[in-house]
Amino acid sequence: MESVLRGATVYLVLMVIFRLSGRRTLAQMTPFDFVLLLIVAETTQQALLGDDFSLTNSVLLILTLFMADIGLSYVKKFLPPLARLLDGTPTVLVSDGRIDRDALSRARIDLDDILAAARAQHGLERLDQVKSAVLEIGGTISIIPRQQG
Amino acid sequence: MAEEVPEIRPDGLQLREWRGVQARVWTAQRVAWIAFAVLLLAGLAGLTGSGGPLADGRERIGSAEIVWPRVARWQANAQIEIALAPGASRRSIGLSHDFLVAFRIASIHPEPSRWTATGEGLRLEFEIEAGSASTLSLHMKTLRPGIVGYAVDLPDGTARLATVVLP
Repeated sequence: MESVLRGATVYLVLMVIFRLSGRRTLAQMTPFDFVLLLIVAETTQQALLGDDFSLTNSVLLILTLFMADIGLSYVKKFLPPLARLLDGTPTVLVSDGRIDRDALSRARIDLDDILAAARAQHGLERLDQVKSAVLEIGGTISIIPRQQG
Repeated sequence: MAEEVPEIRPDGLQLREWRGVQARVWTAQRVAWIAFAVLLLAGLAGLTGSGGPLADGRERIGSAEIVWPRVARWQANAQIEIALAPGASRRSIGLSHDFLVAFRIASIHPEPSRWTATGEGLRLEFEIEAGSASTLSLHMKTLRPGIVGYAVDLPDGTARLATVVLP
């Protein structure tokens, strides 16, 4: 029983912490962020396993985590408001060339991030070449360039 | 359940933004960051166990002083220290049954010369040089989470203690 409860609790806690940390946290990972993530994984592993390193415990925990994920995906499918709350929604940062400074500030994104995404995705050189920029649910920034000509 | 197709916005994007929801999430995130900071400060203060100024309690019962964990963590180590004033060569302390249910004794320093199971729990006797003060250290492991109340019999009275064992 303890294994399942531990697994479910850790799943829930991680989900809440990651969600409340904001999309930006994992979206643009630096090497240091990657190291932090590894440390989080290691810390979580100890909380999950406790003193029990048996195969039974591992299998139960893995099943718990997978079932929690599958179960939550069904719950979100039938409760779209919950899905929006847990997964977030796309945020338009630049709309038809107009920069939404409030959205940028609250999403902890600056213009450099938009310009970097514009260069990486479309080889754009300037901000005025960006028609729209959207912060996606996954934390990436999608750029729609202005039509040339 | 048929999925609705998002409408095309005036700026040409076909997406549903739910800006109101997102604004509430942003606000909730800021509140959560404050809560995280408070939790970290509580941890530094000792309210989550494992050291810190508020993690241990201290009580004097007659000539003895006991330091016990106010907050401990489940399946982690905890320690009780009992300072005994100079006295007779044979001194004893008692641990209530509640204590034995909540903690597993890992080691005791100095080692008791005698362990006796009693109706109330466990009585430990120590050989200490007559007229010398001594400090007894009980190293335990917590066995279950929750608020654990227990009693420790000291030479001049009983200390009724409680430890919050965090999961």
